[in-house]
Amino acid sequence: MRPGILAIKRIKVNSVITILILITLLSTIQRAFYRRSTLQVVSPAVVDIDLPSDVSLKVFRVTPEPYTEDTYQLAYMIKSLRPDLILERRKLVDGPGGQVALGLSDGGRPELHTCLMDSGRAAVTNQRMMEENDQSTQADSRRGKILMLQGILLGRPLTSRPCLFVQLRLNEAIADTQASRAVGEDRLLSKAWPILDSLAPLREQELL
Amino acid sequence: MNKYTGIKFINVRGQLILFLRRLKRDTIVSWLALLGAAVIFHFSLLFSTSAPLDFLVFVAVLWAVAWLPVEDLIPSLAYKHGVSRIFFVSFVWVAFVARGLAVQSYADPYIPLFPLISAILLILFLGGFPLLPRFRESLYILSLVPVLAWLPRLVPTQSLSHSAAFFAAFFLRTFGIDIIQDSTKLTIGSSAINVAGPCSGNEIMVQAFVVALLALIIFPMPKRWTRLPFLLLAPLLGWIVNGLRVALLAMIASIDPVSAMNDSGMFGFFHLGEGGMVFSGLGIAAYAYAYVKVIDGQLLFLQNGVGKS
Repeated sequence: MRPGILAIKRIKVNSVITILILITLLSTIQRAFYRRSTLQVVSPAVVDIDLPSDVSLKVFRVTPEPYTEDTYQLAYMIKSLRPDLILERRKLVDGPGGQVALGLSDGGRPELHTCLMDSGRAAVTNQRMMEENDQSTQADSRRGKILMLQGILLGRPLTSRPCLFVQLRLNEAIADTQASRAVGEDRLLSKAWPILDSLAPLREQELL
Repeated sequence: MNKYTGIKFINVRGQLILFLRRLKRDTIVSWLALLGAAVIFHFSLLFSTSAPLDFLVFVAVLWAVAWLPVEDLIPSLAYKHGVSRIFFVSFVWVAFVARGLAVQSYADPYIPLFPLISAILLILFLGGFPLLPRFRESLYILSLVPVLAWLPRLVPTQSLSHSAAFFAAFFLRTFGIDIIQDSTKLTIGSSAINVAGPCSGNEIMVQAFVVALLALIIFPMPKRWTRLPFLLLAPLLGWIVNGLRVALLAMIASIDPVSAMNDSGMFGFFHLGEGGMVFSGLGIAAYAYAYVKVIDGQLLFLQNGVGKS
């Protein structure tokens, strides 16, 4: 018999089990401290796209951890005001949280919030939401490549995967009336899709 | 023991030392500790990926029920020597646990497969392939976790949503409520709700189906021909309770439209919150009641037959 085998034979099985228990428990501890939630601004130099002069753009890289304050704040930010939104003839998913948040920023400027993530993989925490998103993007031949406007379920974390949080804002302030908001939001939405589309390389660079 | 109060004091430190000594000497005890560590690891995966509450509860139930046959086996369990087997299984175990560290979403197939694969690895560790049949009941039960996770996706939600809306409308009309049903849309007065895919009841039906399978594994009905009808009864009850839930949501929306728009309050509770679990529990309770009644009747019939003969 080879010396190596002899050495293994001398190790008691209980010691092996103890080592396996330790490894399993250490892995459990690692899972317990699984990813801290972060919201980092992506440098404007990296976001190198042509923007219309009346629009400003901020992109954040989000690394959420379930059940943290940051994730919940983000979830509320993305809560949709218009769940049946139609954007460039793409009907966004009518999930409970919706897909795109539209509202007025402090300065009275229309603002759009959305989250871009990988649509080709199991990207979201909520499986049902993912399936709905899949259905909504089935008609698109570039599926897997397109940007995904990702929603959340209220009271649930946004996602367990990193995503790009996009904040698009009209620079021009508007009056807070229903009519002017509708006009402002339509203007913003007409610009939103091409901008989100042109963020695809950034999404791939940052997330994939 | 305190002679005045009669309370028995437990020496925690002493108990712990005793347990650690037993862990060191008794292979079965340390093997059970590894099994416990695997269960804890599985739950840490579920929590860290924020799995839905109903999935968490059902996984906990399946682990607990799978433990029952193991408990009966413990006195007869013995470790079978095999160096190469131990080395191989340990290596696979470490690789398997390491793969778990890469899990990012609860949709990862690793999570539903973990209970079954980890149980098989642990059984192989203890006694190799000949030991597997002795744990078949536990393995059957743990194999229901993938069913619970994946079967809802195979259910066609569009037609199910339509049928749930139809049932809810039918139910409310029997109480004289004026409700309009247009495909998956239900309108009462000026308030409308849409029965979307996630509210189709596919999950409640699968949960009921899993409970029916569990009942068949643990308490199989003596009369075989009754097993299939009861297996089919469970999803039917799930469909009915989901229809009742949709009817309740439609009623809440008509009474408090703001809560329906914001998904808050009572509407939010029964739509997104734990309210779904209440209805799932109702369906399962009704099923369990019917199952126990029928199995009692069958056992009584068999007893009488034996008595007469």
